[in-house]
Amino acid sequence: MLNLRLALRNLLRQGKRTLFTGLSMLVGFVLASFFIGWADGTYNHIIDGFTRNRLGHIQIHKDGYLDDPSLYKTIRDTEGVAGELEAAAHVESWTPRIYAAGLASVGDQSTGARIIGIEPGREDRTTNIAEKIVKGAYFGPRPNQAIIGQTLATVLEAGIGDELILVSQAADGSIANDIYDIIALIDTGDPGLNRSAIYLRLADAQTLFVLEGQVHEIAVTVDNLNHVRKVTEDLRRRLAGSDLEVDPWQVFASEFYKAMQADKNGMYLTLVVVVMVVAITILNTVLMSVLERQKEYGVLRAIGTRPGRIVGMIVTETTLLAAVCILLGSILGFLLNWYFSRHGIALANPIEWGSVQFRYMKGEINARSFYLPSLTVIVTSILVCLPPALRAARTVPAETMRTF
Amino acid sequence: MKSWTAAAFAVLCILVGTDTMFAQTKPKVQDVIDNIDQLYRAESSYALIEMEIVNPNWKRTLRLKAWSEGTENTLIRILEPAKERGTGTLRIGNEMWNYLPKVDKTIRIPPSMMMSSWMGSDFTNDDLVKEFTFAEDYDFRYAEVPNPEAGHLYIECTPKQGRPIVWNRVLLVVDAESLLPVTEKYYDQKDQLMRTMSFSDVKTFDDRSIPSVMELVPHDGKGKTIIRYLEAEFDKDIPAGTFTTRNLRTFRG
Amino acid sequence: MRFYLKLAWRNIFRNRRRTFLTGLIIGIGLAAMIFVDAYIVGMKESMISSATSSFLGQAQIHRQGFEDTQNAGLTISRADRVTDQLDNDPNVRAFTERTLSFGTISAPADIASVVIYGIAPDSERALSKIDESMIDGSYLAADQNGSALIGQKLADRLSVAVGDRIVITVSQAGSGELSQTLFRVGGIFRMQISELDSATVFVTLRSAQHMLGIDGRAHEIAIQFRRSQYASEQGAQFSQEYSSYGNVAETWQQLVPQLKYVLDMTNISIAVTVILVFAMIVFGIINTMFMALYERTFEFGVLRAVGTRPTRLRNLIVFEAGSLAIYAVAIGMILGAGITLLSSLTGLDLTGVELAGTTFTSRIYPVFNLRQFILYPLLVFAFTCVVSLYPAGHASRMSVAQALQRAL
Repeated sequence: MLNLRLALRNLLRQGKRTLFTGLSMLVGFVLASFFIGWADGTYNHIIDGFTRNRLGHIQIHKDGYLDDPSLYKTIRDTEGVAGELEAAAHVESWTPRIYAAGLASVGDQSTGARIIGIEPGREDRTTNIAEKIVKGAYFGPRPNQAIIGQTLATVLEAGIGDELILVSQAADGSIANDIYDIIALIDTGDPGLNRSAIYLRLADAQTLFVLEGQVHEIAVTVDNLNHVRKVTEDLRRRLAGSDLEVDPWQVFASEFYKAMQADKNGMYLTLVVVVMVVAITILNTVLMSVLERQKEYGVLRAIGTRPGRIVGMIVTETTLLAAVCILLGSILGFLLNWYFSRHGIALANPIEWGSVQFRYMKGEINARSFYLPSLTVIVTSILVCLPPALRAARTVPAETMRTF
Repeated sequence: MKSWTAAAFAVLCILVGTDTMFAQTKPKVQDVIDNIDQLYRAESSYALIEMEIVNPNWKRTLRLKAWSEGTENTLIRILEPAKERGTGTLRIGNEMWNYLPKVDKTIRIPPSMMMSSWMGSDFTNDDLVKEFTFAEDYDFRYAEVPNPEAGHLYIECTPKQGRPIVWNRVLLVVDAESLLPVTEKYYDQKDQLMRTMSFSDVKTFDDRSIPSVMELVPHDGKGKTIIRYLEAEFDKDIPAGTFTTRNLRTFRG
Repeated sequence: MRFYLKLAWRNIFRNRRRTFLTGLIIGIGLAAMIFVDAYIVGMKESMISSATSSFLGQAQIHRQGFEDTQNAGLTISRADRVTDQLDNDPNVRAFTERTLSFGTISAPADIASVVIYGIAPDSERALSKIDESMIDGSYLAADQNGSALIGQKLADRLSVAVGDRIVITVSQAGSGELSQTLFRVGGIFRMQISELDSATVFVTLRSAQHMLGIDGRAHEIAIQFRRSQYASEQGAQFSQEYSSYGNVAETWQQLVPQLKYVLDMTNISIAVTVILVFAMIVFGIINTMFMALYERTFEFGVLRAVGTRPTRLRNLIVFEAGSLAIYAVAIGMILGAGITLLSSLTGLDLTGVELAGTTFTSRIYPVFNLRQFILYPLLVFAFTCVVSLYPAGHASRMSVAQALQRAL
């Protein structure tokens, strides 16, 4: 206990030196914390933008659908699944979809198309699809409406108000065909999809393909990207025993995932560099401060302080200071990350991808932005003060007490 | 379908030709082939067909009428099931249309869809329009097989140089007496049997005896397609205006 | 003046340890900036190179409307003029003509929808890596008109091997008539780009032209420039020059916009990282300086007592800071160069990873850049000097008596 009080007094007594050393710990902590929060934040922001706005964070299909899609591999108990989704924690929103291929014809032009049945309200709430419409209006109350990709419209020489005929094969083998009203053109952000996609109301698609009550996919969004794995596990447990599979975006958007991993690895490398710089800064100040006080330690030894005591004192002082700085740093870091997670850095030139615009780069608050810098500060401080402490404890007072 | 019936004819004629080769002075190969062409090229044909399609997801039987004129024009009309009654496919030269009674629209089939299956069967849109070239595409000779059945002749068909055929060889099994085909077996490069076409139930239509049932079974176990000729007429006059998009739309029996 | 400079330089080495440590942290910070910069530049170049040198090319020319409609009849107009222009263009290193069409490939086991490229095998070598990606069979020869190259995934799906028969069906330009042609699988490739490996077929230009009924014509010209930066720097100019006769010339930025998007993001990452590291360095400098000056208060008191004018003292301190900065920058540059050089020799392996529609097919080599060795050191030096002004001013204006009181 004496050590602690002594350490505290020593620190306060030193004033400026404590301030300098402490400041280096504090600033190092805050900057590292911010960097982590920002790096993770921007990545998650990108991932979120990509998955939330198009594919969803988690997808549910019939077993085997992802590997080998087929009109016949459907989810039959949509109600049951919906119930589980409503009950599961962290689920923000979900939306069902039907996928099929067919022939689209407008006037004299016809071409192959990808038909996607969506539930207008749910789909928009989950993926903001209405924002991607470039011309025309979103689904209204009238039946048999279609929204087509903007490039597809060019290929079919079609425009808003034209009659679209869809022909395909229904799930019972019969010829599926019907007429639809083109009400809007859409830019999905994916050029391939823009050239082939036709969106219908889910009910219309189910009728067309004789798939009443069935869907091919249920896309789910969660409240926070960090919860995706957890929610996936939860849903898998809830749906165990059914013939459904639950996949997170890392699986169904595996190429995007690999891309992000590669980029993130680059970021980690940079993080290592940042942490190193922080460590070295702390190293520098702590080392200097201990070394500068050699005279003091010489005096202490001269009056009989045991070497162990001196080491103990130095370590306690450093640890105490580090602890205080970590505390303060956590608060500051939290505030900084909080601000950037809300407001972000405005980009001079908004980055566009498809029709999604990124105007800000936002950070986030997460556990790693606290424990990693804390670990760095504490470990560095203690490690750094040990060698000179040990040396200080063993020196001959006469040598260290010399002035100049 | 037309191509398979014609395949049967060609084999028949070639066999006749080959047979006579041994029996008497060999007729010129060119004459034999010309003969086949002529026999195959019925000026026109009409058939009432039942097509049964079986696959892992559903089973369907269609009843349809088919008209053809020369090698350019084909019209097919679906009679059953009732839900699709009146649906039609028209082919003139290189172009193809479908008529859909439910929406009362005629749509063009783009070239990109030609290789997709016709009505879910094991035949493609292209099979409907492709000109029969079985005789032109293959070289024929008698084959030795282990355990040959009595009363059957075995003919090995190998694709001619450069012909756009994926099969490595086709084994033709023919009834020795009637000289009508019994089965066609299609083998791939590794000599695996990939699909089998079976012919049975010989009937006489007009004055031609042909197997009236043809069954196509791909060996991936995913189902089969069976065609039954219920009625057929050859070289009868087909009313003018049959092969038009207007006729495609108006269902006249 | 010179006296003070010499004095400043000597002063900082009086306390070797402190100088070394401070120099070290500044130096490491600088080295970090240099390395991160080099690494990210290397990564960007690797991404661009992966995207463009596997098959895409750094720029492409098409007929207007071809990319949207994929109409086989829309071939490059006045192709002879265009190729002449490219031949005589000093900025162009290589180019090749291709046909591009959708069709189906049939084998006994399966039928698949594919993209068919007709390539000129010899000139194609300079543009793409097909010839380097063969895992079975052999690359196309200029006159091998019956041979087709397919990707490994496609070969697996169709259950075909080298030498097997396949039939390619396309619809001809203009008439739309289907033409079916027999090919033999001449070779199987693995380019690690899933679209190519699972749904693309390469045949000779001549056989494709014949199949499509467009003898002598092509849909696409792919181009590599002499300088890899050309597309970024003079993309607009290139577009203008070659978008004539109804053709459209585009650089990779327009062909693969996702890549550009990712690169834009990366630029911001660099900026923020550099700023952060810089902030750390600056802080380290400030902190160290204050500490050092605080320790030397007595010394400064003595100097003032002896008659040194405050301005002179301030200058001395600033010169010391400058000297320290030079020393530190030297350390930093050596360290930075060292690390970057080492890692650029071995490279960082990210092969096989796909990113933004491209795949890393080569290692990342951190790239040296003049900016790293001029701008960053200058910034560090300038900052150090500027930052030292405050404590210098403060120290020089302290009351002499107070300064001399400092003991322990």
